[in-house]
Amino acid sequence: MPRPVKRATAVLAPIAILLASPAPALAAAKPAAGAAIGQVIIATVGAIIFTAALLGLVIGHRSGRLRFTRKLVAFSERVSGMPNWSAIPLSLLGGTLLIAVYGMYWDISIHLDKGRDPGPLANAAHYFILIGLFGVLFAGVVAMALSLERPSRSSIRLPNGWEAPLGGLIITFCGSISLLAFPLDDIWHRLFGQDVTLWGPTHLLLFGGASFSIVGAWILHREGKAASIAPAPKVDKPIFIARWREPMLAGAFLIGLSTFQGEFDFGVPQFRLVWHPILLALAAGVGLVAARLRMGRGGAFAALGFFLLVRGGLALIVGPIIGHTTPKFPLYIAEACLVELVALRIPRDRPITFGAVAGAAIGTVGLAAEWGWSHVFWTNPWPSSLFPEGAIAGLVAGVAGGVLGGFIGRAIQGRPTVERVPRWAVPAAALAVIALVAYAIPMPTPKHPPSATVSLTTVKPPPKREVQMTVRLHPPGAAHNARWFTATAWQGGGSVIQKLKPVGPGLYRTTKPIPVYGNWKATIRLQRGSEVLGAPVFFAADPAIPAPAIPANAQFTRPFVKDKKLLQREQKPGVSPVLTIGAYSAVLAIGLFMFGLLAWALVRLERTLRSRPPVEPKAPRAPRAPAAAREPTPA
Amino acid sequence: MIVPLAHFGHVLVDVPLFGGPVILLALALWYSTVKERRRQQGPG
Repeated sequence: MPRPVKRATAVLAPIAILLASPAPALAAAKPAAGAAIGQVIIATVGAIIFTAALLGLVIGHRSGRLRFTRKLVAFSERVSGMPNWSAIPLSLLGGTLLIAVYGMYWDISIHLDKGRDPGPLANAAHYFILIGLFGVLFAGVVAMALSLERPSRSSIRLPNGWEAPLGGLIITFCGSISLLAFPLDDIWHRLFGQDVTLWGPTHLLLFGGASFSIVGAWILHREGKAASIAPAPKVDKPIFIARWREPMLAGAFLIGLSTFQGEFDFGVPQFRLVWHPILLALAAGVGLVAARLRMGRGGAFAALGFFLLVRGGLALIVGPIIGHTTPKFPLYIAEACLVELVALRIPRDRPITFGAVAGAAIGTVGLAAEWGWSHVFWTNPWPSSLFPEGAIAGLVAGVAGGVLGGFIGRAIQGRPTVERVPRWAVPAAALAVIALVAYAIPMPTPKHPPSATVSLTTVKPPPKREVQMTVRLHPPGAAHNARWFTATAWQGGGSVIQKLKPVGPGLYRTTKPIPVYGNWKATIRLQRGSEVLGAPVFFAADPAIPAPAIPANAQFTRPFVKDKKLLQREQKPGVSPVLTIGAYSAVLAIGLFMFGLLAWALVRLERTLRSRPPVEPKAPRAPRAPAAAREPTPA
Repeated sequence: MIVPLAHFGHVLVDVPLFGGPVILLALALWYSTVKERRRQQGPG
């Protein structure tokens, strides 16, 4: 047996036994809600094979015994004009993130339309997420393992003697956060019950880690192009992807930042509507400003083009083609135009000022454009009652996002700057984001909640009963200035969301039939002020939770309750507040550590790039070097 | 056969599947660090 294989086996074998051993132990227990033993075996074996392959590759490459990796390294440099430790992981990461984001939106649409899964591997979309997130970790580890010598001026020496590119380290960390969020999520479910929302704390870690791994990718790209110690490899035959790598990175970052809007994209948000303009302005401010700073003229448009291509494609595939609820998305066209216009007046050597001004434009004019788009495309259009709360919060988010985008852009462009801004500007922007989050999170329940008397008219008889609803509110003005007031049915095989039409004082009607059979969950949802409320119409009994049935009688009066109680029936009541605070604090600490690490890496990259004039690796003239190998022209 | 797990039964799958690679890589890093230290200290 070759020595590297022996080493890998020595490390893997005991752990494999440890990981596999609980399966047979629990398999003998009394059957209950859980995972099929086949899935447990598939998962365990799959994880071991994957990790063994990864470790085998790493050990084999570093020992110089794998001819295949030597060939791959040479090929990647020949076609990309970049060092292998940058080119190979970036290609890997790009592909795997596309797979992951497809899996994510498909998976959300499945849960929205069909409810929870019968098992962890019972849903095909999970495999895409699985492969995608493994790919993120894989890309990070490959970036760290490929270089046998110090790769870049910003690289970090690991305790085991490896010289890891800074970007590789960040990708590995973010990928690890994403993967570890899955078991953490299960522990969370065990403690608190399943949280059927995109914004569960561990869910945020899960897709947040993957989203912010793109910052690591951007850092790795800059390291490969501007901070590499070895001379640039000769370009033999530049490939298509090398030319478009930077716009794709910027667009991917915008997509990653926009994943946080998922609650609103699918039309069943469980949080206040004010979050939507906040998240949108933040994503546009951070993503488009950073893209414009890095790529120069047209950078914001390039990022936007990739964003629209991917999100448009995802919407088309998940919605009309697969047949699930279509994930809607913001346009960002006005925001990209504003960023480009502001850049004509404020040059790139004043990144924070540029970011603040562009962010202010995004938070005002940009949001006004998205308000118009919301009435054309989104499930829950922005009502006039969102003003002024949404406008003020959106402006703060736009400016804060723009400043943070300026900070990211300044670091990755690595150009000298002339602006003198207070040292607290960037931390203040981060604090503003935290303040916005603290403002938008509370969703109190009123002391005297309103109620609804609902009359159902059957328009389609059982077994697939559908009804029209007439809703009389008590008091009649309960839905005055509501952010949304809808009849919502989901998880029964699709989703039906419609605004209730006023037909008299305090009297509303549905305009389309609502399904009240099978696994459908039908509610009346009301968001007003900071309250997010709901009145149940029909819920089937759910013995696994357990939860009783709520029948759809011909007429009933029910009070509005906290909407979360209806949409997240799986949540366990009566959990100790100490446990709750402890769990939330632990997840928050992981998230804050990740952001801290990203900030540290960006500062380190910026200092490295500025430590001497940025010298781009020169590619040979013949054949023509790819556009991606050249510095973008300053605006 | 169904294994009784967390609320909806993912934990036993998720720990090896998602946590496994991270844990194994961390162990591999730790192992190579120990080896590197031993190499630097020399045979004596």
